[in-house]
Amino acid sequence: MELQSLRKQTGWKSILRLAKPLIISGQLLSLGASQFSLVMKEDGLDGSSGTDFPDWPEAPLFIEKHQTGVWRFLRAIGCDSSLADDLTQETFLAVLRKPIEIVNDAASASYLRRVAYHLLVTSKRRNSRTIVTSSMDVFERDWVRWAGEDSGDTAVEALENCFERLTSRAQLALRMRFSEKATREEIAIELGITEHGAKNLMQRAKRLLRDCIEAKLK
Amino acid sequence: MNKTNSEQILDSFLSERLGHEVAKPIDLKLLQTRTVDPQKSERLTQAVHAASQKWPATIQSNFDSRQSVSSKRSRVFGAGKHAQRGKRRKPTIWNRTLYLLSGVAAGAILAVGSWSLLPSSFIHSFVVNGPDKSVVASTSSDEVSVKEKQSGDAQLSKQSPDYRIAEFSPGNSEQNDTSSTKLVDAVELVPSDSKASGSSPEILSMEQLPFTKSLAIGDGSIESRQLMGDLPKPRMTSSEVLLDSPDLVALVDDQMEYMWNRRKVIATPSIPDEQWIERASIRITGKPLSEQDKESFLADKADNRRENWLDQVTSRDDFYRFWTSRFTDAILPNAQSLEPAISNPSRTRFKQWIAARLRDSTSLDQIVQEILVAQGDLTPGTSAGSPQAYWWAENAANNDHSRATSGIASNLLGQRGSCIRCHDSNVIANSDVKPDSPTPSFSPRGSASRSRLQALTRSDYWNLALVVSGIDVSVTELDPSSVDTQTTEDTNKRTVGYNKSWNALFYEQADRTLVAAQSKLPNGMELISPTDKREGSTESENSTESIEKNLQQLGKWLTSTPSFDERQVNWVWESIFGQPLQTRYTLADSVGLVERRELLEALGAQFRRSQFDLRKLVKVLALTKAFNRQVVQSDPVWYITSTPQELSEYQNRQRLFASYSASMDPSFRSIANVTTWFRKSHNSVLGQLNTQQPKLQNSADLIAIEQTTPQVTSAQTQFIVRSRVLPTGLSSEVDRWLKSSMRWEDLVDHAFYLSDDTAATKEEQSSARELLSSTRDRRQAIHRILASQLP
Repeated sequence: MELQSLRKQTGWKSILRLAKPLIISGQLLSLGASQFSLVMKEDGLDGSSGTDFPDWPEAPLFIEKHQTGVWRFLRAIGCDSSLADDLTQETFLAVLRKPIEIVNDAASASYLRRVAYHLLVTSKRRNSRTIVTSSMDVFERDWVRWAGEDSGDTAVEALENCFERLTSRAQLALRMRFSEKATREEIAIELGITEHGAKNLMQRAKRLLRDCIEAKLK
Repeated sequence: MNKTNSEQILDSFLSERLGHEVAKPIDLKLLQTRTVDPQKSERLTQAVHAASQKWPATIQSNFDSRQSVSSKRSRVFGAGKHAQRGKRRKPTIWNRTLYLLSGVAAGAILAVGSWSLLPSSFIHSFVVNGPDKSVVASTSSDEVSVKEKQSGDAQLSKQSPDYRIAEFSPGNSEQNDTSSTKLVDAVELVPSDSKASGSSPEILSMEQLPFTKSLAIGDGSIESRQLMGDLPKPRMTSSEVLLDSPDLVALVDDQMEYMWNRRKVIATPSIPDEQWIERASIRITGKPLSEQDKESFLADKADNRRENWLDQVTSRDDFYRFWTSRFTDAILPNAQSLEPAISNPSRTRFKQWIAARLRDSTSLDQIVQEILVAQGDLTPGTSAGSPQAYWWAENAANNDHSRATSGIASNLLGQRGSCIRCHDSNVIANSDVKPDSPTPSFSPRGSASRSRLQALTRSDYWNLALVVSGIDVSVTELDPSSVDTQTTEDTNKRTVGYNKSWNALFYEQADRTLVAAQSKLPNGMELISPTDKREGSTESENSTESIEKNLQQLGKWLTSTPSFDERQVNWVWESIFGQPLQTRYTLADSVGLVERRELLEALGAQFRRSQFDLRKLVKVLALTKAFNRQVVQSDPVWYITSTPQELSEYQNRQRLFASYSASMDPSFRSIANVTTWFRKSHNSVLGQLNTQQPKLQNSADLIAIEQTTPQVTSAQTQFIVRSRVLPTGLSSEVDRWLKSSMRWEDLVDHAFYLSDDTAATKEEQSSARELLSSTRDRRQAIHRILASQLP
């Protein structure tokens, strides 16, 4: 009788949802105490596990090796710093829950980037935003050309060298833009040029940087 | 190469290198926690849920509070929005009921039949968080015995052969804590063989607990214990027990660490011995460290060389001289120790008298009692009368007895005399507080925990004023030629005596009616009234004798209150740390208020128990971890360019003594300076300050820098900080003032009263008017005045 009235009020799905705890409790009781013991031990929840990741002891090394690359990739594809932090963690979480077969570092890095990309797409979709790049394949290809197989360390090092070759005005403009988040107007005032001039200056500087880095990476 | 993609990549690299962005290291432990299969966790959740039915009802309620728990989980996991994906809908009443019934059924069966049969690893350990309570418990035995008791807050006691959680206190019930996270406060592990071996309970931090890895994520009811507080709440000792110095140091350290941990404040690193002795020398003797002291200290290789050095230095004349000055500053209106002694030989004699009393080991309460009944001639060049009468001459100058009462309330009891003169200060202690009482929020929160006497009301204030009005300070101008101008600048003859025409006193209530003050103390003790007449005595004899008796009673009562003890600790603390443990204006520093209050109470009680042993208290404070913190002195540009959150963190660290504040100015009435500076910087303090690095190419640039880059003093820096992040309580208080349609001058006076209990001077009112005309916004202007005033 009660179930019928519940059905009228809430529908079958609700009844099932409401009954879930009872079902679970029944299952729980049927398992018995000894089974619980087994479950806890199997799960490594009894405090007895010796390693952090019993199923994959090399996981910490794997994470250390690929973390920066994943994070940089996410930044490059349009995440801000904190979102990149979050998604990097989510990426490794996904891999830890479903470990992959490691062939080589490049393949692992590529797989991680795929996972990260899909997490980003999911995140953006949930927030009703469009993804910053439409073609993952094209972006992936460009990323590999820039970042290579060392998570982008060589490219960043090249960037530092190339940056020193820019004029002091160009350096100042880029520093203000990326370090102090200054607007074009503020940069223009600081340099005593027009806003359009500041835009051109930074575009030229970045083109020089890009050419310089690509030359170094070849 | 696709230009758009390469530009994007280049931009991200530039942001990383130029913006100093780095990837946040992944917390492997957290990751491990999250890798637990949700289905397995669910089973564990259910198991614990069933077992929890044995716990008190208050703890059981945790399980139904999924929403708050899941939001906490998302925060702790640091995954931001992503962690909230799993957030569940709030359960319906049906859901709750069925859930509870199922839990009860499971729990009953487990309790009746299965509990004792469960093997040791059934539930090795777990932690349950909820909106109100947090529970940590462990069962890892074949012979689990569960003992529960509940009195007041829930207490849980479980026992096993390995260890037992002997006591558990739920999260602090601080009402004003805005944080929704409640932390485990105390976990005391008692070895199971403690009775046999006589070993004492061991208090462990959460990190040290044997079930550190008891991690499970279920439906949100069970979480990693890493989410919990890390330190147990220290127990404040009973006032009946006198602690040794090391125990007292430990008490302060424990409370500080608990406070830092609870507020998530990271203390600065400790300083080496060389820095410590230099700091201690300045703070304890008022003098820079001598080479001789430094050498002898460094030559001492003993582990307790700090204690040895403190023992030496606190027995020197320098120590008594310095602490006489600090005590004088504490009990006199306004800080006057900076004035040269030549200008006022009466003050010099007063200080000499105090120094002698301190050297004689006279306790502070005795000194204050002697001061309150003092009479004497303070004429320059004479030594007649009691030198301690100088206190009345300063406090009751011009026979302003209201000011003298404020002085007693503020300087001897640590209360805001200027506020309780017009307002009932404490809604807890005052039963007849009016609903429209202007400033109920002025009450020192938690102050009624030890004694009603800690919170004076307006009627208390005026009753005290009646007692104080028995003092008469007469001033006669002397012939300047008869005064030795080599030794004094004072040409007034001042005499402190008892008021022979002592009479009734009336004060105005909130409803504008006049009421006669009663001759009684705040503890209800009746004193002799001016209208009491005794047979056989002349009126003047009657008055004189009555006043003396009243003042004696006043002294006894005053020095017996916990407020007095705490006030004494507070000024000593302020001298050592540069800022008081608890400011008079509590709205200004609402961070860690309860913890600091508790500590002040405990130290006050201990100070009394030690017969106000100043040497011991100073030594203890100098040995605490808080005194041993490094100074963080950010440059002014940082203050301006940092985010409000960064500023708040910085301020919190300073207020909570997690970094040492070397340059705190206890009372800088710098409104005039700030206003001048404000004007110079083109009517905008924050907008026009040049934060760019100057370009120096020739001498002309130097001149330009001076014009565009104002020199920022420490007072101005603090002004900047306060202007940007005025404490929330203070800000809402200002809004309340503004709604009350007070005159501008009254608003300014209120702002100044908060600083040091005195109204604004004419010059300060003038500066404030200028500030108002510059900002054209009363709220903004009063904020800036407060910013310039509050230490």
